[in-house]
Amino acid sequence: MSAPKLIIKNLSKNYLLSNKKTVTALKNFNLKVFPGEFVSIIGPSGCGKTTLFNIIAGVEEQTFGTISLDGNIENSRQGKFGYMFQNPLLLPWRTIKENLILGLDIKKVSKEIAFKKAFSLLKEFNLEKYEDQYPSVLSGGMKQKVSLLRTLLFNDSFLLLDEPFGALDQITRQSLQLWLKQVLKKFMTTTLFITHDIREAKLLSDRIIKL
Amino acid sequence: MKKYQSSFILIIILLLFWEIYVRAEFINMRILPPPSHIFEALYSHWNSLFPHVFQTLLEAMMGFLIAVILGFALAVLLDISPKINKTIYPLLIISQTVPIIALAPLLLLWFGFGILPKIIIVVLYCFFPIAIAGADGLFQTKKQFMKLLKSMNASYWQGLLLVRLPSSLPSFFSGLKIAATYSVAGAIVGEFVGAYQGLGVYMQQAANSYSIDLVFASIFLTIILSFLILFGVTIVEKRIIRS
Repeated sequence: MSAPKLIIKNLSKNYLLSNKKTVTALKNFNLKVFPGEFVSIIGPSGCGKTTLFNIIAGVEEQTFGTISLDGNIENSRQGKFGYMFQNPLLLPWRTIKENLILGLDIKKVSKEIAFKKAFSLLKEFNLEKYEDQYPSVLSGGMKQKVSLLRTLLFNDSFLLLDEPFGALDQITRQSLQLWLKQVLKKFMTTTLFITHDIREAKLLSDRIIKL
Repeated sequence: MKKYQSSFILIIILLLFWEIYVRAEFINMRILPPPSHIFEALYSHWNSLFPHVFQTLLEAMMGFLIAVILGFALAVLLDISPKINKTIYPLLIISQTVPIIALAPLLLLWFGFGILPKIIIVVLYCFFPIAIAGADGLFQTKKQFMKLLKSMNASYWQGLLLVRLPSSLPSFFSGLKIAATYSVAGAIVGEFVGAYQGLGVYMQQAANSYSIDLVFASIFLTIILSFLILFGVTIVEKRIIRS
């Protein structure tokens, strides 16, 4: 078996409240994720799943513990993961193709190359007819598809998917689960996935972790 | 235009009521001329009014544009760091408690009777709503968007230009609309205190010679100028905010 892509060691997160009391959101969490693996994290609301993702993505700092990516301990992890939120967070003033290249704009990729990449991705998943539309005309499921493609275009080596289908109805959810499987198979992406739905976790994952 | 139909009808009704009230001699026409006399005076004195209208419009537009630049820069400055915000914000509030009409004579002393003191007065009237609305718009960027930007390792300026500024535009334009309505009134305040030309000067001259119809004609033109600037802002808003 190849070396783990991600190693999380003794990760803890404490929050200091305004009354000077401390709340522990995560305590001594350990995890190894191997290249190309799809690992689901399940657990009740408030158990620290989103905090864990925020820390991995570098949005929040951990109180204790280390995170290694490709064998190196990473203290500055921003930009090293593709992080997709429960809310699609599409920018309403940007067209679909402009939304797709947001991460590439931040990476200062030239517009020409960025749009080419965005178009080929949209075409690959039969969404090219929406490239010049604004997010307001898309359904909830379509918005999530675009959001996932934006995340992939930013970073297709490691995805953090935080309940991406949580707000969708059952039928849309099932079709998106199959679609996600198909997308990730093409990209061979390593994925950490948060869900409440044990059936969803079983369908998609190589491994399930309970937090 | 359709959405303003009801207010247009209300204005017509009020003008008609005013016309009938004065013509029925409930009030002396010399004290309150009917709208028909005001429009007649406006038409017959248009040639002498025009240079004053142009002067006031010039002062209001220049002051407004400078206020937009200053207000915008100040909004970004307030946003850059909480420390700067805490230092500058109270000063901004203090600046608004000073009655600008009291500052006008001082500005006249310092900068003379030319266009500059009027432009400064317009700027003083307009920059505050622009700066505050702009800063509020920037502060109110959704937390989730901030998280997204952070996860993508966006710099402050990238986040500002790509996400926060576009998302704050509706709030920024609200401030611009308020400022647009202040701009002409600001110019007239400046002209009242001392000027060679402008609607403020014309209004004073008309009042001094008891030409009440011309005072009202100047007020009417002030309203039209304010609407013109507001209309311009609305057009720019519609072009910029696409969805």
